[in-house]
Amino acid sequence: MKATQQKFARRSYVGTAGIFSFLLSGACLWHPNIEQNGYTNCNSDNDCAAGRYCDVGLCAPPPWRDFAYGQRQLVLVENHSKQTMPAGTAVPVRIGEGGVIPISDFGADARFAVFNRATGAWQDQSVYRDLFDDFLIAWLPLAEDVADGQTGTVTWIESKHEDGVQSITDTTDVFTFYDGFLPPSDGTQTLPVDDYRTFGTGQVTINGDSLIVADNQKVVLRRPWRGAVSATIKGRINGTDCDGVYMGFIADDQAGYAAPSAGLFMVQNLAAGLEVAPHADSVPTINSAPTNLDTALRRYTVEVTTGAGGGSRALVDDVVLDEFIDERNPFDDVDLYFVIDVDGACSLEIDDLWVSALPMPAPKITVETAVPLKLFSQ
Amino acid sequence: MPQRQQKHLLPHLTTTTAQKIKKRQISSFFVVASSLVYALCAGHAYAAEDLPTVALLPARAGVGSSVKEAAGVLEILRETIDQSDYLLMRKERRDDEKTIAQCFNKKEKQKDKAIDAKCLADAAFQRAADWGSTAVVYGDEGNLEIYLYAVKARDPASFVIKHAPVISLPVGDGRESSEDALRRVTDLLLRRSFAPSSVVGELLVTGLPEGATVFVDDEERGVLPLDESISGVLEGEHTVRVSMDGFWDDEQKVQINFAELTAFSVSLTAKPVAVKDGKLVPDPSKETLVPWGPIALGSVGGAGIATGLVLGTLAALDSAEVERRAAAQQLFFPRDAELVRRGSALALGANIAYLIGVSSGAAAGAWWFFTLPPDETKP
Repeated sequence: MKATQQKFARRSYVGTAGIFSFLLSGACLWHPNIEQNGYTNCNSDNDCAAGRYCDVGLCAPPPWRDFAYGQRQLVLVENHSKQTMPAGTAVPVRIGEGGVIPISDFGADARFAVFNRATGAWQDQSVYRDLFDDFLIAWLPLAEDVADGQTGTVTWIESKHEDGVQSITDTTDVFTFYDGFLPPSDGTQTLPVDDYRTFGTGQVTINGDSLIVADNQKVVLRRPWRGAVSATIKGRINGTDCDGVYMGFIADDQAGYAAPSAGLFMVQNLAAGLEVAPHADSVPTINSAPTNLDTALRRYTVEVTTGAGGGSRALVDDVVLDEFIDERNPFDDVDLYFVIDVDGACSLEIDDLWVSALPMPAPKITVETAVPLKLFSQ
Repeated sequence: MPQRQQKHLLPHLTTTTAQKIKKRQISSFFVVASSLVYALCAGHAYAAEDLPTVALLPARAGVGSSVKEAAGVLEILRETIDQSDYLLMRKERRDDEKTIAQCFNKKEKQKDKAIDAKCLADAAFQRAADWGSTAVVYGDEGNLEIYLYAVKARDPASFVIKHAPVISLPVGDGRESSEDALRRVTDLLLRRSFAPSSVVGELLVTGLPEGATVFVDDEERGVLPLDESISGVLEGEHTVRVSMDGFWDDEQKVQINFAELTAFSVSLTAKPVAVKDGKLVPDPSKETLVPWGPIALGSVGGAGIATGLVLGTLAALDSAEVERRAAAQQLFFPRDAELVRRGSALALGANIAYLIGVSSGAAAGAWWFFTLPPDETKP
């Protein structure tokens, strides 16, 4: 009896030691609680969210570029179209009123940067800032393709430089095409024929740093676009009785008109609407009731995406004026040319023209929470 | 269990000197004759000239004691020396009383300072003796307390004091037995003072099994059954061990007293045996009480768990640092790759160590549980 009790006493000691050891071993498995912070397990970059890369089996953001900058913020683009947004597509990021980033978070010392995964190096990103009174739109070229339905990195905004230095220089190479209509160096006042075709009465002239397209004049960009294209004119309408003015895309750069087409068309007295002819045999039609415009300096944008999921849209100062999207009746997938045609008692004074490959529907810009720098020692 | 018994071996001395407690006179002839007889009977190997000599000065009466009692003790001391085989006594001198009076510190109440050691050493030298000695007798309501003082001639540093137990001195019919007690006490005091190696007793070891070897203080002293008792064992505590192959050892502490026989009985317990090649052989699995196998395996387990604890703690620290950086969105690579790899490797190492530790510990526990005999089988 005593021997049995002793054996059971020994057994209880062994059992206690075993349970204790098991608890200890379970407590020391390597599972740092970091998934909630985006550090998920991965086998390749494809397993990681945009802006993160797979290293040591974890999705992690790229290293801090410059410790002189006390904060950084990741800007992402969600491609909701059915087309891939190719690298180089200029994407507008609205900062300030109505934008994704408060203007207070975007100081004068801010800069844009992208991380090159292949080389492991950072580089400054080209930017063109379209300035307004209470906001700005930063146009930034995508560093890499963003497939349809996917999210990609637009940029890392670095700010809060310890010395407050300014480092941004606006460049126009972010666009597929840009023209600021600066006076030609040869003193001529005409458009370069390599880029434009002109039709109509008299010469289209450049006045100061603006292009003047007068009544019975027509300007066609010789460069064709297919797929997604977005053209923006920054200018003003001179004249209150203005009709027959067309800013948009047609299918031929030499004919007076060729469908398919889509553009902003003024029918009478500054009343304008989106005129669409999605197929070669379509009759151009105003999509909805015209809206009265004014003679202020505005940005007029026309967007067309051909092929599946495409459509067209007209915007004034980044506000949608009208849009035409019909999944069952998409635009013919043909080359399109941008044309400015004035056939009324008015003229167009154009300061800038830029073209990007933005698809429809427009991509959505999101930003992650700004990350303040903390210096962790190795 | 061993059984021990003790009995006195010293034969009673003749009690012809009962009156000498009251009288100091003694016949020198009788002393010499007694000494010779005792020496011949004892068969001692010492020649008389080899023995140390002592000048025994008159005993003094301390507090509670009478001069007569001191004289009686002195007389018995002289008789004991005369009859001893370890000490010779110098002849008394006329000035012994005067000398001891000078050496006696009358006012000193501390008994260890009752005698002036230098005075006693000088007295021994003057009497051509190797030792000088005297006694002080204290008393209390019929009890005697004897202090024997001894010092080498001209060597006060060698001063020794031997204190005898309190001896009851009943009056009337009991006086004889008290004299015997005094003789034993004085003999013991003298031996302890002048011949410590003669303060011995005897040890009798009996028991089973036959053939078991008896060790006293790790010195082999015979095989059971012993033909006779082991003599010449110094007074004091000794370790007696009885050992035999196939049996658990028995080891006990035994107290040996002067001139006494101490009996020690053992019965060894056989170790478990196994049958091998038709013969009974010791069972290796039960041969020892110390479970070295489970202990070694358990040590491996303990080391594994300890290693796991250390590695696991380091891994946990790295994990916390990784979490801290991740929470700040600043867990970067390749800068922090080493941190993650190290933490992961430490955790893996910790788990392996735990696995080894727990497995070894469990195996050790099982080994211990299933192979060791219960406590009842142990001797």
